[in-house]
Amino acid sequence: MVKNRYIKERPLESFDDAERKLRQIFVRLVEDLKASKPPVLRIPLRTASNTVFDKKRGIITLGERVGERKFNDISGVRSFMQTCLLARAIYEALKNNDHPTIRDLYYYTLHTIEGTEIETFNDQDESNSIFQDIEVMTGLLREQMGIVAESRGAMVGNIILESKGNRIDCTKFGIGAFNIPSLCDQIRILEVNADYVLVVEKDAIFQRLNDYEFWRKNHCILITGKGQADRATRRMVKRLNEEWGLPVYVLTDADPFGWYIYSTYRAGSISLSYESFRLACPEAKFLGMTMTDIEKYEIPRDHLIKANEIDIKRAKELLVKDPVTKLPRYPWFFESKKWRQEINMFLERKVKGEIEAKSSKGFRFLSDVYLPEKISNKDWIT
Amino acid sequence: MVREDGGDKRGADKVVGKPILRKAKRVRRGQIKQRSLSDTPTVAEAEAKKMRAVNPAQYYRQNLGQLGFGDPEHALVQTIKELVDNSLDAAEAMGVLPEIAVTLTATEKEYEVITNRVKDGGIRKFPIFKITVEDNGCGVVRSKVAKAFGKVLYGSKFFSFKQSRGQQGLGVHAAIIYAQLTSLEPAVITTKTETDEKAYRVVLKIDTEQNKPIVISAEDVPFNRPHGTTVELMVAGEYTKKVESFIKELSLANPHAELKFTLKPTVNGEEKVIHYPRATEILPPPPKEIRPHILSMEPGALLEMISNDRCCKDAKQFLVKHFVRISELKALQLLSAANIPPDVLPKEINVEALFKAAKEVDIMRPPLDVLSPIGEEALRQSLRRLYPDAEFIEATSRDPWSYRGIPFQVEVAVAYGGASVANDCETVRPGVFKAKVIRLGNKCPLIYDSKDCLLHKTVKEINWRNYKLPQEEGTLPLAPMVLVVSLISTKVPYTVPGKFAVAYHDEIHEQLRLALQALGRMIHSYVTHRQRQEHERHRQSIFQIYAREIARDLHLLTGVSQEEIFNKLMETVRTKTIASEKRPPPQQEVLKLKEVPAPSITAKVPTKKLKEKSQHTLDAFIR
Repeated sequence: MVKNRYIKERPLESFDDAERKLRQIFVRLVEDLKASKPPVLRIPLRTASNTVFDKKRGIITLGERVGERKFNDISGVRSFMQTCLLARAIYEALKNNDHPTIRDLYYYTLHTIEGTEIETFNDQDESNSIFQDIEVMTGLLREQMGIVAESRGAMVGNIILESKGNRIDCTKFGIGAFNIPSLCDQIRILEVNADYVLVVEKDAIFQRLNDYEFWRKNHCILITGKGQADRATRRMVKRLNEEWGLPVYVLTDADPFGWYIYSTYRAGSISLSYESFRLACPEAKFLGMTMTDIEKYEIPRDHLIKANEIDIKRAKELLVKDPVTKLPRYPWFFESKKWRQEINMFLERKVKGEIEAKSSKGFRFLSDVYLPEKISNKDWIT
Repeated sequence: MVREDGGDKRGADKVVGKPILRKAKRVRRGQIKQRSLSDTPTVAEAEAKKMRAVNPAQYYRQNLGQLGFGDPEHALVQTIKELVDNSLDAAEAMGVLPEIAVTLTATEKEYEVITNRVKDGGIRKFPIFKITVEDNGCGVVRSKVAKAFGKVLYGSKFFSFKQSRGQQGLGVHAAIIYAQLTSLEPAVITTKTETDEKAYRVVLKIDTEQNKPIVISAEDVPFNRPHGTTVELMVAGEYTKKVESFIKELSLANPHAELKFTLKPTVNGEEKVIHYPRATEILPPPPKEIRPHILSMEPGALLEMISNDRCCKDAKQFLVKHFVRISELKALQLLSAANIPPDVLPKEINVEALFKAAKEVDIMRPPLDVLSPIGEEALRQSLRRLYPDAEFIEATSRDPWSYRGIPFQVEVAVAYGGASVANDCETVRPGVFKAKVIRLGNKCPLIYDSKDCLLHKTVKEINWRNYKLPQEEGTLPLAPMVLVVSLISTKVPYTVPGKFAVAYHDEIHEQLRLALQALGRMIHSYVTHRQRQEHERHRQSIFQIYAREIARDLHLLTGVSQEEIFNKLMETVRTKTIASEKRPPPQQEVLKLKEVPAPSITAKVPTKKLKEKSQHTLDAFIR
């Protein structure tokens, strides 16, 4: 049984704070306006160039550059309006204790501007981008503002949760699993009885491992993000690591896409860099499948897939340096000898391997041999 | 023969009659010598027998086309033009504001022409129009009426070196000849001078064989004006749109004239009255008469002058007396440069040497203050009268200059935008108009042969794209505008005497170009100003649209009243302006006429930005 790292149990986030914080920004704006100052919204830039790697914390974060969104600037007035509009919609939702999705917000705010044929938003992408602006401007994440997004992560293992007064025992889903909800901070983790967290890239592998009750035999928690992980899954992994001190192992295919998925679990992504502090889990370790495993476990050559151009391009990108700052774009790959070796080996052989390829050694090879062996041998890459 | 008939005025035979006569004599003399060698008559001899002098009336009867009476379509306009020209000149000579009434009525008579213009080669019929032009000019002295109207090349204009509409005084005679050729009807002239008790009415024809008037009747009649002349002609013609556009341009060129036109283009049709009240009460300054400049002379004409001179005792005196800008000193200089002793008889002057010297010796330009331009202000008023809804009206002129010793001045004007202007322009595509050029030569509209005309060609040469007007190279700009190009001169260099097109002269071309470019800059600054205004209005409306939205959202977020937020928001876009309002609009008139919806709401638009950003990008901002 693992103890919560916190002395006191961390209280659930309340939406009242968010409501107050959001309103405060606009109250200040109107005060400026009353004092005849041109209204300006200061929004940290979400561009790639304003994304930096925080070495100390080992995650990607936003830089310090801030953009000004002005009303009295013809090129900025539309997005200024959109920001106010969306903020108002969020504020109304918070006040009424509603938890809309960002798509709900888009439709809620979409209308034709009076006296024109102009729509407030051209498409949802525009609305989403403004929404992210509000997140960085207020420092409030969508989960804190009660905005629901699509979620697809699943979890199973010896862990007991509480939500809306119900106890959820994650050992009792049978061949099913607990779907991690978008607002995963609204769930209390009551008990955890596991040695580590195993994050599986693929849902199919997750289901097989669950079927074998791998988690019970190996005393761990199984989580999948079903491909590129959503925010809630990453948040849950982060919570288990941060609040309960569980080590995190990531299992993906042996290809650049798998590495990239690991990379987002570990350091965050550029597009959500402002959220990395909540989502990224720098302690996450890459368990496999590595290029060296392919040799080590003697996976037959014809079970491997030839890498295509996109794979190679992506692999090269992982080692690339930013042309402006001359810093590696993915320092956790670039500065690790093992990772460089791994990526170069891939670039040399130009082959990739799926986890399922191990089934050539038998259906249970993965769960009974490979994973326990890797973990007990500490055969991972950090 | 000609000499006897036209003997009292040297000019008439000088130009047309005499040279032909002389040539004939010379040839005959040569023949006589030859005959002594051989008795057989040669071809040349046979030809020589047919040779005889042509009098100007005959000549012009044969060549009416040169004078603008080539075909019935031109003839109507040309008749009105010649008569009105004389009327305007007559009024201005007296220093009174012209009041002219023109009546054009179709009669039942027809004139038949065999022409190849009809496909079946058949007969084309033209109605005969009765044209009456009535003026308040000085009138004609009784004793001279018959000759003035009935003898070709008789008149006051040929001898004067002074700006006037008609130049050789051929026009009215050509009209009378044309009238009697097509309608067989005589001209009816009623005239009264200030001192006459009653008006004098003469009905006459021109005997073209003799070049003298045939007076059919002459009588005293009452007249309803203190002085003036009425000319009535019956001419065959074809009524086209050009008639009305000519009338319009005529009134444009003469803003001080009160013009009234009564038109009845078909026998049974409606009568149409077009009345142009005068746009200005100010009479243009009268043109001054000057002696010719030596550089303006043709060598032949100079030779004539020399051989006809009977009063000057030597070459020096001849030069000083007959030419402008030649002082005694300059005359001596000129003669010594030409290697002519100053005391020879004028007859002995070597014309070629004199001309060569005149080009080398620096002779001052002719006095340039002798012209009577329309005037910039008058042009503006005139355009405003014709195009009351034009968005922009401006005029500019160059200082007088001279070509080949002849003073001239260029004036240009523009009326831009507005429905009435667009209506006068050719529509290239819906919404795209081609500029219209109105050419004026000594205040007379030139409406035919534009492609040969220097005025028209120069307009096309200008790169109007420099002034923000779309243009295909070498054509008229594509903009709803009327361009007035006026050339004033003591002698407008027409390509033919019919006064259709101005011939090319470097100096005129250059002055025209400069004037049009100056006008172009004015148009440019207006177009830019308008674009800026439009841009600004557009910008304001964008802010307004969004401010309303934002005010509602901020009201819901903060509870502050929508109205207050909206006003404060709009204030932030406005405050920026005051600092940048220094730039005044280019033309005060524009402001008066253009309706600016919210003059106080204006904001700064960086000019550079504005130039780059079209309406299109502005729209892009909204979407």
